Amino acid sequence: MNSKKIQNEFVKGLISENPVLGLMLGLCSVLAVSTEVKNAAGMGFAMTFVLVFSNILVSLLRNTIPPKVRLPVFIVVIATFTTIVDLLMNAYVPEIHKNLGIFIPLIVVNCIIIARAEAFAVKNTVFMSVIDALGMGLGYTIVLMIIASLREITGNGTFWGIKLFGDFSPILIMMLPPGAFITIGLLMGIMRRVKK
Amino acid sequence: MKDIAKLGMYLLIVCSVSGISLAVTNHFTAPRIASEMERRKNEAMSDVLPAASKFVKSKTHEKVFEGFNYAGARVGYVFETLASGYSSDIEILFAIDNEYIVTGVKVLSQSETPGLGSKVSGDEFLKQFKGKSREKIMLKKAGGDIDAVTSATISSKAVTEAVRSRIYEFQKDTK
Repeated sequence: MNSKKIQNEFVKGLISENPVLGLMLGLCSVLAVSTEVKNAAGMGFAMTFVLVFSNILVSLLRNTIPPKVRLPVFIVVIATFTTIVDLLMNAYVPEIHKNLGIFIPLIVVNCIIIARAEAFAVKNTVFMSVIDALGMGLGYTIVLMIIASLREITGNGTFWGIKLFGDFSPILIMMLPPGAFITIGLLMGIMRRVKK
Repeated sequence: MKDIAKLGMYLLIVCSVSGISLAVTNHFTAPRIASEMERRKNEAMSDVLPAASKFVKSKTHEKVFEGFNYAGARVGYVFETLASGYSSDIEILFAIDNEYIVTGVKVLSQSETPGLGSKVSGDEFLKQFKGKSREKIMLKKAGGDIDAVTSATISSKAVTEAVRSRIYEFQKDTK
């Protein structure tokens, strides 16, 4: 296993196969949590955490799962693991759970998780799956935070809850779902341009 | 055919293991989670009625708690109430003192439009209620003292009306 390959698997999640702008996965959660940078950071962190562990689990089980029933098995394994973490966090670290707990139900149904299990973890070693998950998680978090910054600044005049302008009438549509679509569309366009 | 039975068995085992591990986790975490919720609720109640140190469920009114201070004197009441907002039911906790003046309002849960209506749970909107009597708790448009959240008149009105009508009902009952 050379370092070049490790680097490639990590970097692909950031640009060429970015989950949001490249693979266009998990857009639903992007729409919902990108009105505030604070929420975007929380969601990105929680998502990366779950993705790393789901990739580890799927990669460990990859030789024992019969190919025909792999999808239901992935779903059961991932949902079980996530629920256990949710319950444990709620019971033992309630402060963290208060901030991240609302994102967990959103993550379980996030297609990025199942997509990485199916496209990567089921064919690769545990180590490589972790690298893949970290790259994908970071790529998702960065894009989510960029979208959230643009929406929060233009739609609310704040960044991380701090007022930026004295007298400012916010562009209301940026706070609503159309604003998210417009922002994602523009970012996808820029991304394609850069990749060329 | 044999294949189906084998795959079925495999899925059965996976689901059983998952079900058992969930049940075990739930068994050990449920009491802790319940006590945590209780603690959080008490914390929220002392946030809206800071003068009180002990809360007792009212015997005569539903969803009302009486707040007592260290000396054992009653300093106010805490109410739990629901407002129907723009896209969800807004769960509100608020308190009044013995003169029916609001001492604090908190939104416990809501799923209003993110970024707009959801701001009714923010401090900037809710701190306006503090120190006001029922008559003043109305949106400015309607002649009251409360500034609505920008572009979220329906959510703001729902919270305002819910608090006002709950105090009204209570005043009528106790007088």
